[in-house]
Amino acid sequence: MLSEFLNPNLVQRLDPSPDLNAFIRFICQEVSADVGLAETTLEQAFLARMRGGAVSTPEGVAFLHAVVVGVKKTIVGCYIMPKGLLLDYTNPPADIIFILVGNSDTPWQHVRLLARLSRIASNAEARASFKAATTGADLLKALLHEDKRHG
Amino acid sequence: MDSAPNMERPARDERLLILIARTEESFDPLVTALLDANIQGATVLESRGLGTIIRSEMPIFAGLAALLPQSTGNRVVLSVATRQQIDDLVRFLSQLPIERRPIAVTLPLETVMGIGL
Repeated sequence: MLSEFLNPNLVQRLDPSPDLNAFIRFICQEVSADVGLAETTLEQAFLARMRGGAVSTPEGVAFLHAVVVGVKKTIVGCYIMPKGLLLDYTNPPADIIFILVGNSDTPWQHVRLLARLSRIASNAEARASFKAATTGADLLKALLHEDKRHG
Repeated sequence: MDSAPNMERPARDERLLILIARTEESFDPLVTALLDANIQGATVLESRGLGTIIRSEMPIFAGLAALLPQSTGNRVVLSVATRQQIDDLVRFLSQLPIERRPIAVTLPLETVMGIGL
């Protein structure tokens, strides 16, 4: 299921962790062309979602996601940040950050992808395998393996 | 004989799906499994299991409280789903630790009304 949406350029290990705002801007730059929207539109969508409520979990997993009108292509990414990234104050810094950008015309696709990512990330062994990945290629392989296992 | 007015024959492979989450903790994985199985509509009922009723409302059974499950029948989910969706859901739920798996029952459907409105 995820292989259709995972963008290998957005599957990386970042050490040390960037500043949150710099990270969001970086993501927006990376996906802007693929989703066909301006970076500022995407940035506003991510920030609006974060203002709407927690995007991370007590297990250190974050789901940075945005559903926006006019998105041409749904995109999923995953970043490992061993030093963690604080996305909200209700949970500890996240060291696994999933990125998801979808079209508001297909909300159920977005919900279903989030559900799949949530199922995968709720498994401690899967989280450990992601965090053990030393390169983006290893992380991508681990993600696809877990997706297949949960599919 | 024809169906009653406004009633429809269900699609051939649709089933009534009944799921019972035993605890609060087992409800989240149940919902994510439903969504991942592409089941987009469901009704959720707050519920209590027989053990909970006996413990809280029937004093004559109070001495047995320690022998009964601490929490049962937390929520009931009702939905109509296709065979494929149910197969996916059961596969996803079977991957959960046994104590977090719901009780699940499927039943054939005779007629339906008002689904997908």
